[in-house]
Amino acid sequence: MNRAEEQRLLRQAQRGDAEAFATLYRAYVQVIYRYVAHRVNDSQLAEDLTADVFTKALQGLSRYQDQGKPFVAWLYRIARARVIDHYRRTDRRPVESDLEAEPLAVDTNMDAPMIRRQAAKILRAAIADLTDDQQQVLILRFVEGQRTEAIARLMGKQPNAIKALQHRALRALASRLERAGFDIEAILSEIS
Amino acid sequence: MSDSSYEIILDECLDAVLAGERTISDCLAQYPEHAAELKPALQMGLLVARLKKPELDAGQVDALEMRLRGQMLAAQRPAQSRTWAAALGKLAAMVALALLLTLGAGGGVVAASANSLPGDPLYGVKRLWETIVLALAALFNSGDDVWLHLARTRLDEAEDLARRGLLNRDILFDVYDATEQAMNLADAQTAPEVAAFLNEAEARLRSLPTTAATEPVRADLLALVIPGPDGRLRVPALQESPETDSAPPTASPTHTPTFEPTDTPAPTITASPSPTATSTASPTSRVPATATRTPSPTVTPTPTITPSATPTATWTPLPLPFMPTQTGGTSSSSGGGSSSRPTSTPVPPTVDVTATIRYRDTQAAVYATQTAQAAIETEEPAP
Repeated sequence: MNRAEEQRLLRQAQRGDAEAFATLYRAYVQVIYRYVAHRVNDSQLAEDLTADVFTKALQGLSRYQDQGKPFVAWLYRIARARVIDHYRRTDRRPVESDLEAEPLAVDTNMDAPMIRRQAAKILRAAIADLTDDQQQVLILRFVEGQRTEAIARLMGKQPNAIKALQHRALRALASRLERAGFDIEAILSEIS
Repeated sequence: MSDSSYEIILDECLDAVLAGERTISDCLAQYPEHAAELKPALQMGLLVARLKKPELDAGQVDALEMRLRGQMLAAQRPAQSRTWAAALGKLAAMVALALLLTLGAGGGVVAASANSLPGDPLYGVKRLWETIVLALAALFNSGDDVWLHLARTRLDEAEDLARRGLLNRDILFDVYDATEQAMNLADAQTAPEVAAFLNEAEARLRSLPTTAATEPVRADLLALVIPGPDGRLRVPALQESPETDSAPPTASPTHTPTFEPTDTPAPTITASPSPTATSTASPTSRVPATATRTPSPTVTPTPTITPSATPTATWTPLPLPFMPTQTGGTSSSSGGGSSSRPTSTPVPPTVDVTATIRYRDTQAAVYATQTAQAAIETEEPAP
């Protein structure tokens, strides 16, 4: 969907055109779901929070003002607020404690798929352990395949700030997996 | 070389590696002075890029769309019956409720409790009175005004407690809840007031002295009042390049296998048990009634949900559960009453949208439909 089309749909949706809002919803629902799912590591919860995001967007649509950013930037912000709110209400970040409970070592008896699964689990947990900004950058960059400049626009930051966030996030992840005893190179060579 | 230079190199290498234009080794050879740092970073980038990408299935997408359409429809209906009398009625109700909140019933214990703070003996009375006023507000569809008033009150209390060195997470949670409710319920009349409050709240929150325990909640509160995705949009002016194509970001540029077993052609274990807790969204069981998805026993479409033919396909506006906000009856769950919320993580009293979305029980859906439709009769028109 190009920008002009999006703006047209937004105007229509603000006038109460359900079709227009449905089109916007269809365009972005998977993106938002992926973002939330990576943040909460729970598909059911992610589904609920995604629903919540679009309901909130619908509620706030009449007050939405297009200030030049893509609509999805607004949706990301709602999603981020929902995730934060969820953790605030539950008063914990479950993944952190899961991570603590996780045996942070590779069992040599594990076969390759198990090691990969374990690595993925720990990697997800490690991502969840990052700051909100760092997580968002990683998801946009590596899950959604966005480039730095686009991420900067979406997050309302300067590209250099995004690069710094990316740098710190990757370093933290590498250190986490290394501490867990994973042979990153072996995993990478196996999936290449 | 400075950190920022390294960050630029890392970014450039990530672009190239993710696009398959260069290998990690190529980048390390190109920047040997950064090889030690680049290598794990690029490896991590690749690994994250190959994490499985969860997706909602088509049924889940359809189900949510139906709900949203239902909500849009519900929001439009009252606009057709808008009258000045209704607007004036609401104004009168607002004034009356504000008086009730600030003055109590004219005296006695309620009035005496007006300035009480959490921990004071009369504070329970104050919150109970608020609950009663919220219930009254539901009758006049004035929950927005009351919640705005309560948000101010909670913020005042937080400041008073802070001055006494007694600021705690609970009161900040209450500020958050009331503020969020006010934002959610704001209509054309109250939106400017809410916006003004949010501005004011931001400044006041910033000057609130916090501790390690209360700081995270204050940070959340600031996140609520500053970006305000729910109540208003205060997006900084954009200084971007013309190509603001907002196309939904697609998958990573190169098609690469994920490193989680379910997506890889791993020969052995991957087949059946596949206990991937990280797997994609659950199939269908949590999807509300769509005629095409029969297996789920909890979502059997009953006659009340207009068992018209193929609701998913035709998008007939089903009377699915409406947002509590639409009913104006948000206060019915007695939001502000602290007496009913003794824990440190108070459940949002009313407009728990998530709860609405999670709503799966058909009987309850029938009830919600009835109440929502009843509410529509008296609802304040949308701006």
